[in-house]
Amino acid sequence: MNPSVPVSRVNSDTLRALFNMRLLTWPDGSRVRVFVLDDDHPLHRRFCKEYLGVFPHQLRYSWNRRVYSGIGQSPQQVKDAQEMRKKIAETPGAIGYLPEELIDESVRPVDLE
Amino acid sequence: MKAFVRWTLNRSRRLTCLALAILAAPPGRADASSWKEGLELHAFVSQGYVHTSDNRFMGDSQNGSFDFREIGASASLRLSPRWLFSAQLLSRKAGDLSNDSVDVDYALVDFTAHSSETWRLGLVAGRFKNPIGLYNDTRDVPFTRPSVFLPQSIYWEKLRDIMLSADGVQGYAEYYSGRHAFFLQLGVGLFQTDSNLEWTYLNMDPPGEFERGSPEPVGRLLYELDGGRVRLGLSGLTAGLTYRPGPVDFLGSGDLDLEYWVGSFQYNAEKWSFTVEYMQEPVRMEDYGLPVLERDQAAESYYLQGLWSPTSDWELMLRYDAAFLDRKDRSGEEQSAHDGLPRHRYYAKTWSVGITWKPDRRIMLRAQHDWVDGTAFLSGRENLDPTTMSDRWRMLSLSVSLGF
Repeated sequence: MNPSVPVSRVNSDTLRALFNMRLLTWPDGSRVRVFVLDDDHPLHRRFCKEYLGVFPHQLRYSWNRRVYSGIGQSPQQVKDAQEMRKKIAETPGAIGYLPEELIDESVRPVDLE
Repeated sequence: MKAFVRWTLNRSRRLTCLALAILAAPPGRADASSWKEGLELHAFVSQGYVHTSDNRFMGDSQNGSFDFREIGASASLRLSPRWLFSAQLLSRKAGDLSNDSVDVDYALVDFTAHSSETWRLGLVAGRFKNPIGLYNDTRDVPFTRPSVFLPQSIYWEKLRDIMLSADGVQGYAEYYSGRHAFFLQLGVGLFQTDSNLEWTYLNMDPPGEFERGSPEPVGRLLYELDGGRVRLGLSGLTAGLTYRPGPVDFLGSGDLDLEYWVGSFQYNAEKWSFTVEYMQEPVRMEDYGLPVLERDQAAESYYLQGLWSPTSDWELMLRYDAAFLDRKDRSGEEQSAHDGLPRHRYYAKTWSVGITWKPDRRIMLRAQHDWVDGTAFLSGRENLDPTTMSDRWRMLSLSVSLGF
């Protein structure tokens, strides 16, 4: 594990905070960058429901409420899992999700507590 | 160096459901981010069509009006996790109530003083949107609304300006604990005023105008369960305005003091949601030198709204919406006797059905039909002669919205 990435495990509260776009830094102060698939993408739906405990439209609502009143930003949306992997691999501080079979050495899975 | 760690989920869950993993970028790469990476841009354009059986709303609606148009563009720049700069420009044509000049909808700097899994604290300065009810702070963005028009009982078109935004500062605190989340926003600022305010409270456009007084408070406390499955809120603002008479004026230097309180409840399921909001607005008016303008009453309104999305691109809406300018005189009888306007000017009860189709994230088509009893939410500015207004009327509205 390289010390410059400070997180090897997250708990579900942290995960929710990250994907709600309200936890903006990793513990070492570096910037978090969140990547998601389209609201209708099966992987995104599943991730929202099973890991965040929300429906995609609820998550979208919480982003929109901040974005359209000027007090927040939304995650970067990618078009498919391949692009997700590429973006995560090349963006410092990036977090996203992938099907297990797409995980390769360019990215690093983290533990969920 | 690149360790692989699978989810440490219990075995049954892992086997039965998922092949998902959360990933973090590999280390060792210099942060090559430029300021452009923190830039987020949005724009939207929406064109509406309104046809009413009687009365005017959004222009000459009895003959079909296209005078409902919203064009907006926003930019936000996150320079660091602490500093966010954002602004939105908005051009809005709303019948006789708003021409399509370009206005600064918001322009602010947001400083996050503290951010962790459980707390987020910060300060916003500049022009910020007033956090009233569930919709006010994004009310002009079609994609955030449930229908062509928001329920008029709480999101009055004719009161929009004073409700819209404030120039000042706002502190915020967010607290998260397991399934529970609390959001508090408390601001102080100067609200926007324009001549719609005179039409709304004086029912005319006199030579003078209302002036903003000292900065006023506005705030919202919102509780969310399970990331928004249940949403419960209380929000409000107070405003004290003084009428500054024109050089030749038949009105004295009167006061307008109002409070605006909204209680909100929303339940969100996967395919449907239910929303109730209740509003009370105490209004006191005095010293205009005109007895019909002396008022001390409280307006009251509420709506119940159900949304159903059978598929992700279709949504159906059913809503009942009621507003009374004086909660103790719901039929308008006493107010009508007091200042001579027809009774229906003091209440409005509306049934609405709506349908939304989003064939694509960037395109949205909407239709809404309203059956209305009363005219309280219609502006005298668009309906100059109250005697020609009808108490029972219908409205069809359509909109096409594009945005990214």
